[in-house]
Amino acid sequence: MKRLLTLTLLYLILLLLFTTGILNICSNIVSNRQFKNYETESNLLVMNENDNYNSLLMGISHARNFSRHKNHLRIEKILNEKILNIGQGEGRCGINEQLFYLDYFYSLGNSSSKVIYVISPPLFFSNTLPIASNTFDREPFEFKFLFNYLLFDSENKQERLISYLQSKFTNVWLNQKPNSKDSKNEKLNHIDNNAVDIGFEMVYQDSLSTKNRYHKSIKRVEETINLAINNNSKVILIIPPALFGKWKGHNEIVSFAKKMETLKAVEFYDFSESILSPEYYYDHHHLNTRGIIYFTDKFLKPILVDDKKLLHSLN
Amino acid sequence: MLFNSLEFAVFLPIVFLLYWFVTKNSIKQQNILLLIASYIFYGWWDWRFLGLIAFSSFVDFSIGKKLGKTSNERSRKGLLYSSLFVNLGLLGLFKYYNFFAQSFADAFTLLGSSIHVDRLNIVLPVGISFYTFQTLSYTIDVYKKKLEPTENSIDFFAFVSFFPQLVAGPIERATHLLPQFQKRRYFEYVKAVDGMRQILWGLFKKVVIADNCAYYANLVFNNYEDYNGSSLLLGAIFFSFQIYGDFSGYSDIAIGTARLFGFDLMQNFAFPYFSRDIAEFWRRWHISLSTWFRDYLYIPLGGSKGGTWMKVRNTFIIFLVSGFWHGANWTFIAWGALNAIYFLPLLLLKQNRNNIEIVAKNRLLPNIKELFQMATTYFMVVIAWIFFRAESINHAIHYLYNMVIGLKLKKGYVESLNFLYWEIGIAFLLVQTLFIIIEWIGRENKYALQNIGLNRITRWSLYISIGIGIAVFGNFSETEFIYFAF
Repeated sequence: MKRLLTLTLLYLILLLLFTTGILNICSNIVSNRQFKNYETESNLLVMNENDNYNSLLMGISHARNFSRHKNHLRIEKILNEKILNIGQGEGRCGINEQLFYLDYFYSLGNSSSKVIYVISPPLFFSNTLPIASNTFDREPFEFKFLFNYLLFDSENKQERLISYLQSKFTNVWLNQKPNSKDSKNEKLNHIDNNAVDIGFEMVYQDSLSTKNRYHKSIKRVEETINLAINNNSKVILIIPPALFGKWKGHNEIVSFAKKMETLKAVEFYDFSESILSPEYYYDHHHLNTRGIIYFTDKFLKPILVDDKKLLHSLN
Repeated sequence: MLFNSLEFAVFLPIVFLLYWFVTKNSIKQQNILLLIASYIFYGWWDWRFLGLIAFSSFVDFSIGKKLGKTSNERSRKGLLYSSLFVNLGLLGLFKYYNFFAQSFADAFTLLGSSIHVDRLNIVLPVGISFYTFQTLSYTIDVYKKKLEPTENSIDFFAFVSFFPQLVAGPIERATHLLPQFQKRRYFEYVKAVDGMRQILWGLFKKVVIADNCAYYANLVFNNYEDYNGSSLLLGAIFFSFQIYGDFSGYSDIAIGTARLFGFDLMQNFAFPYFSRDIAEFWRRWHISLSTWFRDYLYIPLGGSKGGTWMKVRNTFIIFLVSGFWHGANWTFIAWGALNAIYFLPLLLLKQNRNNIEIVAKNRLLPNIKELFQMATTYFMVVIAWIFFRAESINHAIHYLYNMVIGLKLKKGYVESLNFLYWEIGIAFLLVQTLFIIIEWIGRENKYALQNIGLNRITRWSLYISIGIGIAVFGNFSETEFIYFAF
């Protein structure tokens, strides 16, 4: 019996060692390629230790869009700030894992003067974002990240972790190289209400009526705000612009954000209807490069340089 | 609880340690532990159906005891029929009621009138077909006086619900498994190591081979109109590996787990895809079910002893019932019928026992004739699997039609190669090839890794490679085993 238990243990240890070794090799092959924030959608590939930033952007695709297609370089130039974007698009990440990324960012000794949380309403209502299993597939293998996440309270954790580890052995991971298009110039001509309705249907399903998801989400966003404040970051909540203006559930988000504004000393800006011209969008709620430049210059810059009067006059 | 779940990875060591350290000195305590563990294992899925197993066990335990006490043939027959009525009644209610109700209504529609039948909104209890057959084997064997009825309810309840094989077999005979509950079990290192090895191989078959093949098979079967002939053939081939990996993988884990507790379960698969004819395939596929039907249905019906008509009738009955056992759908019946059609010529020409030994025994490679026979048999099996996998007869026929017509189009083969390369990937194809090679090398054993006869370092390298294969390619999304639905 003792022999069986010893050999089983030995087998598991050897298996763990070999698997971890291969995992590290596969992970390092990509990590060594030196990515910039606008050249990858991975956060760990660009997150260093003990770095200081002026602003950190977080949220879903509407946040990530500020870095895609070299937009990152543009907004850094307009704002004259060093920025890190940890937003995750493509339906990979919800509020929980955004909180985890932020926590991990601080745990590495990093700091940011401001945390700009792009609170797109779907983020609060989607039932699929919190259970996406491919959230970390683009991240390199890091023990600390894995260990911290094991202790983090989240949904669908087991599948997400398995996907994270297994993704390191795929061609998609191994072939990942620094890459970014120069710009995203496609633009819309008009609103297609039918497409908007289909989009809403996909995003919300029945989550607007049940509200369970919303209540879970606001609790986690509040935790995120507390975490940022405790790490001396000023929190700015923004609802991003959309061609159709307000998302479903808009009022609930505004009321929550205003409550946070009162209770937590955060700033809140509702930009949902700030840009209603189709030429600034490549789809109904994602700004194209021209839109990003316009939005950053006209709306982000004033709030980040703390000139609220200018912003109010623009509104 | 699924074998490929984290819960089972915790559950198994706990039960194992309690079994060999806490209860090792008492068979009674060991059996009580196994009974509790088995009910936890099953209740993890849905505790409400524990009552069903307990009821089934209670009925057959009581009937068995009464059968032992009465010699009146009429009473004995009555008791046997009571057991058949209760067990098959429950199976019929949970598994087949909606099918019969719907088929009845459809028949009226065909005749030009319509009737309304109420469908039952009930869940199919996992493994009901398996434990029903297992408990029935007890009553039938006691009735036939092949087995003394047990007086010990713990032994009997533990035998019916024994967790390694409770939900997907092997379907054990009472004559084989029940006595093992009644005698002292000792820890045997060699047996336990063999069990561990079989679990490892079974897990590999399930999470690497079956679950990955399932992805591609589902992709093709669910969108068959979008694929060309050769890709449809590939889809069917992937399904053949899925069902083999899934079911034989489950059996391997079940047999291996039972060995850890000192039990021997019967072999359920004996490398069926290396069969040279369909009769050999059926001697090697789902052996516990085939032999159950042989012993409790085919032979009582007269087997192959009567005239030609009787042989044909009995063959069709056994294959149709076997198909229907798999599920309440016409597709399974069609699958059974097709296999009967494959099998009949061999039976009538008395060629059905030509290939008893494993192919190319004591040789490394098969000869050309054997290779051709294996390929032909495999192809026939793959065609039959299309009916097994399809959602309806219509689906199966369209799939087959598109496949056969599409095979003529040359450009389809290029698309299929692209599908193999881009969708499936070279790495998985290599793993799949390696799997076939290991199965071939180990085909003379009860499972591929048994008695591999390598030196320690090579053997351990192989085990670790399999473990890494599971970690890298395994699908851990806790997909259920196909046969849970049967």
